[in-house]
Amino acid sequence: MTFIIDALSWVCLMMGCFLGISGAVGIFKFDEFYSRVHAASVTDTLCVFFIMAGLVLQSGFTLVSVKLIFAVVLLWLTSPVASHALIRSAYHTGLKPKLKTSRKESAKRGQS
Amino acid sequence: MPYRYLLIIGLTLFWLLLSGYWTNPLILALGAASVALATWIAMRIESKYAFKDKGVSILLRQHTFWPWLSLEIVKSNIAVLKCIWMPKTYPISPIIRQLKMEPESRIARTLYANAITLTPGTVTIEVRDTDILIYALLEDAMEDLEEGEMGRRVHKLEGNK
Repeated sequence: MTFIIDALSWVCLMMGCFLGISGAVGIFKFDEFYSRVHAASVTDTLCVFFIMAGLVLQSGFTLVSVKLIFAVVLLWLTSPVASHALIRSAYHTGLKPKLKTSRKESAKRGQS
Repeated sequence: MPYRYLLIIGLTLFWLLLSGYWTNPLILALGAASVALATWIAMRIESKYAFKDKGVSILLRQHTFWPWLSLEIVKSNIAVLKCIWMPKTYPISPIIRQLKMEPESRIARTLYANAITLTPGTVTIEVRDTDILIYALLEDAMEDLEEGEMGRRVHKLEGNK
């Protein structure tokens, strides 16, 4: 039984790590401010969820799990506010987003 | 004033769960003082900006919304991950569009805008009366929002069928 729970929690933790690294890679890979915020929001949502789920499985039915769940709820409620504030202030100060490049163009940019 | 009692109950539970010392009278007294202070400040805010919306009914219906939203979050996470790791096969197509939104009360609008921002791939830039300005990383995500499933679900939370 403990083996199954350990395995599950490790799977969750590894998924969380992978998602966090993907978010970081995405921040560097995308080419302008607005799309980078989206890469960060991957880290905000599922990465946090998986890492906390893995830790909850490790600690079982204790007050520590309750605190971890509180942390997930807090992050899920506040991180949209933060990214909204960031994007809104960028939009109002006049940073123009690069919009809708055609599929051909972006494929070309990917090769170069 | 149901909000005052809801706030007191919620804050008390929060304190008890976070502290974990349920028998130490000093800690419990400090908790009671903090709850009283927080409630007093919240009531001062409410006397200026009255909270008339249908908050309680929305709160009671949350359980119908969050499972669906979590599923959407997983789906859109996968879509954004594809764009990050395979930019050649899944190129991004950023797009900004202004949409009408269905939810009417302030709290439902806040919930809607927050839900849009929470799902990766779409971000709310600005909210004005019934219009909402959205930036989407993928055109598909924008089309999903235009189709209006999320707006309808938030609208249902307000109690309108």
